[in-house]
Amino acid sequence: MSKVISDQLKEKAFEYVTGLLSESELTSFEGILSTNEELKKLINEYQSTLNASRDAFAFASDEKELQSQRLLLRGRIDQLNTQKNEMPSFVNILESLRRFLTAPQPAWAVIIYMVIAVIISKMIPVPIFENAVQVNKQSVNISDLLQSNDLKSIKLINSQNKDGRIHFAVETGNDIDITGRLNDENIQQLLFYLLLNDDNPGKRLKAVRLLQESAPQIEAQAVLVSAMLTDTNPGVRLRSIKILKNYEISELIINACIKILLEDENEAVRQQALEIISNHPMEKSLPVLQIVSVMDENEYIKAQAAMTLQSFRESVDPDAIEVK
Amino acid sequence: MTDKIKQLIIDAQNGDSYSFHQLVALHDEKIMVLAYQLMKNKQDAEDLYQEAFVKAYKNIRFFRFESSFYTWLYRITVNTALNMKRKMSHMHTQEPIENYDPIENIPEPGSVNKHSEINRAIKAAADELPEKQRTAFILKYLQNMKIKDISAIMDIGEGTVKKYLFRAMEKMRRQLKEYRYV
Repeated sequence: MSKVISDQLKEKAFEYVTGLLSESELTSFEGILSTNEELKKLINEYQSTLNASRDAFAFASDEKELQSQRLLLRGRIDQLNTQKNEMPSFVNILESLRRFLTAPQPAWAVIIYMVIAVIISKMIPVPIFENAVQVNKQSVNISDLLQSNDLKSIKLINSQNKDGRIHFAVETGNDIDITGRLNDENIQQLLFYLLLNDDNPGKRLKAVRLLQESAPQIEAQAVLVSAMLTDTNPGVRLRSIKILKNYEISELIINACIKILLEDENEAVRQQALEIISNHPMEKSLPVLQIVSVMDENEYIKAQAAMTLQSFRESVDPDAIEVK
Repeated sequence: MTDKIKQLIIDAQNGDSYSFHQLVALHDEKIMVLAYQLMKNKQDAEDLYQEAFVKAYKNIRFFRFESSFYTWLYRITVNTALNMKRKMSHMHTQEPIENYDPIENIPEPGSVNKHSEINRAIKAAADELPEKQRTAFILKYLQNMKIKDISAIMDIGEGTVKKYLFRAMEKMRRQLKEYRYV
């Protein structure tokens, strides 16, 4: 017949498993344990719970990932130190875009930029109101709305509620609420808009994090490439480039990574670009890797670039290096 | 605490960020593991890592060598995690991949790797614990910390830590017993 274990004894059993009993308590508890099968069973259950928990939460941090986090942290702390604290970020974005556009660019960079512009311009005017998206007032064409001058702000009210829907409050001449799923075209448009235009880096980060969860698609790729090339916030650039790692790596992405590796001031972002380049050998990457292996300010990136270069060169078959 | 670490802390307190980065490199592996255990996914864990170390950098001048540097970092990490979760629950953010409904997810025999199924059930059971019980459970059983240190990190009495641990353990055991995993 099974005995009921009192709460007090349960507590002792827990202390026994956790190693909290004093020597005298331990002796007396073990005396009870030797004659009580139910108590033995309870101890086993506690022990199994702990073992299973340790297995379930086992996590080995990857050195590369840690290095990337350290570099990102270094960037953030440098930013804190130099106290380059923000003039209104909207101005910042325009300024950085202006600098980006007026800086002398190699021909391939200009081509990338034009391709991105064409893709985005094709994307924006498509009529996209769908049933899946609820708008609280009259039907609104999101594209028209995004292009209109009376758009004041977009607030992300709920980044994913229990049924997986995202809720935006769009402040225009008439305020409207827009709710939909992550892969709904309207929601994607708003996320692209936030990522590329919002002056609040927190919102841009939120947008890029949500895009990370959506299925890879060509429009998102263009927006992410644009964000990783032009966003003023290293966190947004880093997140964008990390998402792009899940995409099929196109020449567009490689070209953007080359630019980042040569020009981005943030080491974590450069490291991610290097990782993409390393995993997709192309002939055009060789001179860039040569430069980075000698010139990069960061010793880790320099060493990684040298290793990649070495491994490219040691590729058994020179044809293994993809030439496009 | 070794002399080297003491010196690095002193240098960091005097504004030497290079020393701070050395401290990060010496301690961050454990902090990343803790962050992963405290948060529900890797992405949030990375955010927690960043936030915790930025806070540590901003506050290192207040470190008085009264506890180990680890305990101090753990305290910052745990508090930052609790704040982040509070904000997330306010925003109703749920990462869909982490949602686990035991009813919906009852595996067909032989269809799913039992080990991963157990892991998901454990995580789901842990997620149902009140936040402080969950934190105490993680610090004690996954991080192998002493009750005294947990008490300092969570800023609660040792008796309260034990109470949280007992309640957490009992809930986990009962919930997992229902799934016949223990």
